[in-house]
Amino acid sequence: MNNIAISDEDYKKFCEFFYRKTGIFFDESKRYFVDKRLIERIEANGAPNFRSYFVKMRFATDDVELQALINSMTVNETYFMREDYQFKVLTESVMDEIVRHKRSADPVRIWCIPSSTGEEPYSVGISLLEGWPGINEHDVEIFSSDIDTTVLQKARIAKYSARSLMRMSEKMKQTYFKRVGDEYQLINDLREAVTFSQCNLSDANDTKKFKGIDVVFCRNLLIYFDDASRRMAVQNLYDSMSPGGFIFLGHSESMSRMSSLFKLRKFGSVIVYQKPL
Amino acid sequence: MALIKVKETHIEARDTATATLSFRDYEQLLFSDLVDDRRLAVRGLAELDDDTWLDVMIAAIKVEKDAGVQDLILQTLRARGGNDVVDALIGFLASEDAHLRNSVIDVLQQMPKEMESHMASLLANDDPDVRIFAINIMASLQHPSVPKWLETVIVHDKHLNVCMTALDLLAETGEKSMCASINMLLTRYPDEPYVAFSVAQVKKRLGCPL
Repeated sequence: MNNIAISDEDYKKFCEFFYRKTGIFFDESKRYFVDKRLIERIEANGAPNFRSYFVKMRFATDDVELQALINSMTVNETYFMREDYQFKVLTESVMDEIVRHKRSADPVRIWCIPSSTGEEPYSVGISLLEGWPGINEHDVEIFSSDIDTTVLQKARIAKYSARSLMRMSEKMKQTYFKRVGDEYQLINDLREAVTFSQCNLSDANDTKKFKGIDVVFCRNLLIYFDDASRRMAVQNLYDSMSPGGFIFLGHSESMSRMSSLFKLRKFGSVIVYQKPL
Repeated sequence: MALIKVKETHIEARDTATATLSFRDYEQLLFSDLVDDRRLAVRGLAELDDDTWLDVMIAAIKVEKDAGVQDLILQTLRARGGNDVVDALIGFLASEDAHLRNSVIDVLQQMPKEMESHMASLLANDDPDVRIFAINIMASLQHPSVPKWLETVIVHDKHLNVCMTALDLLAETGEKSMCASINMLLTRYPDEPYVAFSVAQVKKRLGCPL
C-alpha cells in the first residue's frame, strides 16, 4: 500500500509544469485522474515522495521520464470507425471537392491528430478504399501524429482487440485483418500506408513540417488544451493546411468558438470547417 | 493510384524551403500585401535566435488588418513571454481599435506572472478606461492577488465606473474579509442608488452582515 500523497501545492506546481511542457491544462476537476497517474509514476521511479520525483524529473539530462509522464497523462481510448458519419462525409463529398481544386500531380494529404493507437488513421484509409471511387485515380498520403510515443508504437504495430473492431463488419474484418489468437493484426498494405510521427499540436516547431494538408481529423484533442494553447494549435493547423482544406473536429467541439480563421460547412447534419480558398 | 507511404525524412524536407530567409527578408514580408507572406514572416521571425523581432512585430500589429494574422502575432508574443512583451502590449489598451484592444486583453490574461509587476501602474493610469481594461484583464487572470488588487480599487479609485467594475468582479472572487472595504463604497458614493444596490448584492453573495 502506498502512502504517497499529492498536496494542493504539489498539484498546482505539477499542473503548471505540465502545461508549460505540453499545452495541456488540468484544472481541479481532473485532480483524481492526475493524482492517480502521478503517483504511479512516482512509484515506478522508486521515489519516496512527489518532491523527490519532481526534482529528479525536471532536472534530468534526458526527457525519458517526462515522456513517460506525458504518455500516462494522455487519454487514448478509441476504436475503429468511431463517429463514422464523418468518414462518410469524407468519402461522399469532401474528397471529390478537394481533388477538383488540386493541381493534378499532388497527392491528397490527410492528417489525423491525435493518432492514439491508430484506429482513426486506419479507419480513414479503410473508408477511402471502401467508399471513395476516386482512390483509383488519385494518390492519398495519410499522416498521423500524437504527443504520446507509447501509443505511436502501438499504432505502428497495429494489433487490436475485438473491442476495437466492434463497429466493423465481418467483411471488413476479413479484408483488412488477420486473426492472431485473441487479437486482430492489420494487413501490411494498410499499415504501411500511414506515416506516424510524434507532434505537440500547440508547438509550432513540431507542426511546421506539415504542409499542404488537405484534410485534418482533429477530434477530441483541443478540449484538453487551455485557451492559449488551443488558439496556437488552431493557428498551427491553419498554417499546415492547403487553401480549401477541411478539418473535422469531435462532435462536441466548435471551431467557431475558438477562431474565425475557418469557415463553417455543412454536409447534411455534419459540420466540417474549411480553410478559405 | 492508391494510398501511398511517405517516409518521415520526406516530411522533414518540406520544412527547409524558408531556411535561407534573413531578418530583413522576414521584416519585408511582414508588411506584404499577402496574408500568407505575413503569416510566413511571423513564423520565421519567431524562430530567429535574437529577439530584435519584438519591435517589428509590435509595429506590425498596429497596421495589421487581418484578424487571423493579428491573432497569430499576439499568440507568438504570448508564447515568447517576458516583461518587454507585456510593456509593449499594455500600450494597446488605449487603442481606439476595439478588436485589437480586446485581443490584447485576452493575451494579457494568459500572462499572469508577467502581469504581476505591471498591475499597480495600470491601476494608477490617468485614463479610467485603461483602469477598467486592467480589471477586465483580472477577470480571467490566474493570479492569487486578483482579489486584493480589486479591493484596493474599490477603496482608492476615484472613478465610479472603475469602482463598480471592480465590485462586479469581487462578487466572483472576493472574500468575506473584504466586507468593510465594500461598505466604504456606500460612504464614498452616498447619493448613487446603483452603488447601494450593487453593494447589497455583492455583500449577500459573499456572506457579509447586511
